Amino acid sequence: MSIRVAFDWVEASPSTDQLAQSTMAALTIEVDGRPVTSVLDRRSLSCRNHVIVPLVYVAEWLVGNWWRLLYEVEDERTPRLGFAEAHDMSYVGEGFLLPCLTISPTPDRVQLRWTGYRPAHSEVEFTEHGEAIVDRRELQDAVQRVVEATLGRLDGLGLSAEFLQRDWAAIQSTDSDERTFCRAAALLGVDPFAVPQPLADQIVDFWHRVEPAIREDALATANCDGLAHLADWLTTALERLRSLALLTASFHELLRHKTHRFRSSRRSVYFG
Amino acid sequence: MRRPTHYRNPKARRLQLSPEGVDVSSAAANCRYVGSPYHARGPSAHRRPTATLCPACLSGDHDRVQNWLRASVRAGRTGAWEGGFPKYVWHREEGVVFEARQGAPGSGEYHGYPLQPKQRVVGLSHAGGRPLALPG
Repeated sequence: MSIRVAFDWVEASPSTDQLAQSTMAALTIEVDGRPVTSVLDRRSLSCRNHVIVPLVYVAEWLVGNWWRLLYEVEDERTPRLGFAEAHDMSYVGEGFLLPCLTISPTPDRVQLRWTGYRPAHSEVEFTEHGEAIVDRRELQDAVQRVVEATLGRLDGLGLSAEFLQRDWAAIQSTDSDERTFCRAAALLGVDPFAVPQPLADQIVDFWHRVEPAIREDALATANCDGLAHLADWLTTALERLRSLALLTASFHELLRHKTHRFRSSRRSVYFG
Repeated sequence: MRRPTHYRNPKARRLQLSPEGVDVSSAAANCRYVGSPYHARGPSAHRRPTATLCPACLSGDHDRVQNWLRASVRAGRTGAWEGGFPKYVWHREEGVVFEARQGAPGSGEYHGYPLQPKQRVVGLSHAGGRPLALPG
């Protein structure tokens, strides 16, 4: 399974939005050779396999949701509020249209799922649908190429997307301890760079208090409001089990196995 | 584990209060709608951006859109501010939410486009387009 992201810069009409004008590109996304960006122009009845959009907005969305795109596990039965905005590329927005491509990480890899749709207020229709599993590293590399090409393009033209530059630099410079926090926050469904301090403290506290074997799975199923309560509940429950001398090595392994199965089962519709 | 030192404002479309000391009335009076060729209806072209299009009834009605823009800034239907003006301004008309975006920060020049029905603006009421009271 492979993903290919290709783009050619396009000369755009003059606009007050210089960043958009300067990064307008014909963007093609293919997964296993299938064109996710295929659109039908309903006015001219012509088809093409690319969209023409400012890459700066695509890059902003990718960087803005970087950690969640890599680590937040989808709950298909009860979707978290805000999941779609962070994982579905049609939410890039800014007045431009992208395919309804959902980037949904699993514990090991990343599922890509795309569906056709007819956007409102437009003359185009996205025509393709499908799904595939890709390697997390391959997706990261594709995203990195888009972001770095956009920043390079702007730099070459003497322009600057200050927020994009700062956010990308921060992602690149995170150390191991920070990446652990970012992964934990993303599992909880929050942006680690925008998390309020009280919640950040709760995430750190949760991480240190809850049994390592189950804390990632617990975060993936938790919500922000109940985090402190969940930490208390899990800690108390495990202490009681320990006091009953039930937490033997084999029980510990069973617990880990059960919680991992629970997280995987959230995706059972697609993975059977 | 350690929280990164980098912090940014949440990315969500959300009504936000104007910064302290900003004269909202003055910003409203000085902002200008300039439009964008990317969202205007026109002849279909091979290299045309894949963008949402403004309704035909608004084509050429510059004054009407500018009035929407200024009224929305005055009413507080705005996102984060940059350079003395809001980066985003929202207006609802006949069930469609329009988003205006500032061009260069501090320019006060805006272009606009209709949002997709699924793109919600946190704090913008569904009925009259008045901002809701937001906590914090």
